[in-house]
Amino acid sequence: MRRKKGFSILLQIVCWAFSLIVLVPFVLILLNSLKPSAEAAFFSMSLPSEFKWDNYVNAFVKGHVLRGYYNSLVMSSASAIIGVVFAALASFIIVRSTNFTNKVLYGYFFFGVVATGNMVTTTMIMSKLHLMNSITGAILLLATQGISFAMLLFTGFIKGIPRELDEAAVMDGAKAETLFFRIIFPLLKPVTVTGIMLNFLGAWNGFETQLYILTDSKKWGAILSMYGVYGEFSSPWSKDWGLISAYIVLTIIPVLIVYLIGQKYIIEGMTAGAVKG
Amino acid sequence: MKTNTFIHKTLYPRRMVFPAFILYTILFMIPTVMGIYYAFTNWNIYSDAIHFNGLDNFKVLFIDQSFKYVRPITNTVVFAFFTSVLEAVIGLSLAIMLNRKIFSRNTLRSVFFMPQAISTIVIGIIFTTILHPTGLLNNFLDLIGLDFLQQNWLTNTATAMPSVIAVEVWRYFGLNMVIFLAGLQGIDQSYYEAARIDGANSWNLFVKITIPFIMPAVTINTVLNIVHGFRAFDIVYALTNGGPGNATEVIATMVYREYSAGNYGLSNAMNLILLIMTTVISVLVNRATSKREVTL
Repeated sequence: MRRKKGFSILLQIVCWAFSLIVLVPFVLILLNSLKPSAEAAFFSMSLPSEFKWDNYVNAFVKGHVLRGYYNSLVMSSASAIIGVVFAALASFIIVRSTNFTNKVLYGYFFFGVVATGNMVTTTMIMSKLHLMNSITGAILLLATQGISFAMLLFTGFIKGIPRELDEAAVMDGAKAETLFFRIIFPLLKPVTVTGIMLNFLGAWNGFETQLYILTDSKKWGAILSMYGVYGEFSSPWSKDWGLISAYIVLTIIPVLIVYLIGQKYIIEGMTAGAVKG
Repeated sequence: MKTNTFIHKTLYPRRMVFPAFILYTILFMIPTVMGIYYAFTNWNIYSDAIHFNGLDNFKVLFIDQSFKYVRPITNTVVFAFFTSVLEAVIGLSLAIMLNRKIFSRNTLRSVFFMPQAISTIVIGIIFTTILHPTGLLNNFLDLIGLDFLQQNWLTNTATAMPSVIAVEVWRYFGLNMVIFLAGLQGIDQSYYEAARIDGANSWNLFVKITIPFIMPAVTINTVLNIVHGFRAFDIVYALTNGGPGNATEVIATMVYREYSAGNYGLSNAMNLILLIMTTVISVLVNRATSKREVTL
């Protein structure tokens, strides 16, 4: 028994030691964000000789942090909600009505989990539809990119909801959409929250999509704006690492807040969807 | 029967699939199919007329300038292989440790999964500073007396690819871990107890019970790892942008490079290769591993 306890403590130590590999980079960037430029360029774990809060002020002023936050918030929330609601509707029909067409449709949507998108032709279609360099365009594209994985989550979850509920509703003569939004959708809450959070994070962090679609820097989200500062305000041989680090911390904070609040939903929903799917 | 079909149709009308179908078709499937077509054309920024040119793009990729385009393909395969294996091995080891009733299990799980929430480009920039010649890794090696191992990690041809692989593994081992952990937690402990009574040792338990039961998790992790590995763009773009030379150039960065240079046909041809690789590998892995799954 005592041996078992010793072993458990040993495991604990090994795990925490390993977790440093994940944590140290975040601590490093936080420390560097408070250092004067010359000191930050050493990239060391030492404490700042003086706390230079100016880095954060500069990031806000020069880097248009607030504009980036606003754009990211609009694009990420709108695309997450659109993608998840559309995916939920489609998944419900595909799971409940298992005819040939719907089986084909399942494969059709599932292809998007595996296949790589084609940004070159996507930009071509987007420009034909006058959606290039527009926030609306970015929202629709980001929503599309989240649909397939969200459907994987929803189809797995809906299989576990008894059909009797649907039939009870038809007795009341309710319309299909009413039935869905009144009765089924509330039951999908855990997986909906997971889907919205994953798509929100995916859109917030989706660098490649914004890089291709948004050419006007005023429309860039937080990450792309930060990358603009990374490339623009400092020449490659003398980057202001204090400023860049402060900006990075500012782009990470909203994401970490979402993650810390929703980690239960994110992790459990994701594994349930992945393992069942 | 007739009333059943009627109920079925009113309850589950196909129109509810339309919103997702329309968006997905216009912004995902049509571009994908068009991309396949353009892979066989001369489309570029300089020519007015787009015409079909058969396999010319693929000749350019595989024959004419041999290594400029073949290297990114081999790099992608190497990258996907090593990241997939390492992510799964580290993920499974940690999952087995966390599956025991240890204090702070949930906190550790959250920490290991955290890189998944962070933008790849941000991770890339942070690791640029860590792998910098005067960066944290070299300082650390100096501190523990291994200074002879110090490198210009990202600009040395020999260490650039392993460095990029290491960062990608850092990003994804937590995802592997949570999926394995979910698989492990689904195993009924009574199987282990029964086997132990029959005199099985730990290794036997692992091979005969644990592995077969977590096969679905192995499948999903392998498919996800390979797909992520093949698609990798942001991480390479931020860490090395394909350099030094083309030591870390992968297909996705090459697609962007050719697109930026206005060679759209060639860019689509590379993208088609990526699409075929991803689809074929996912189907093969799914077939190979699903045979060994235990169904209850």
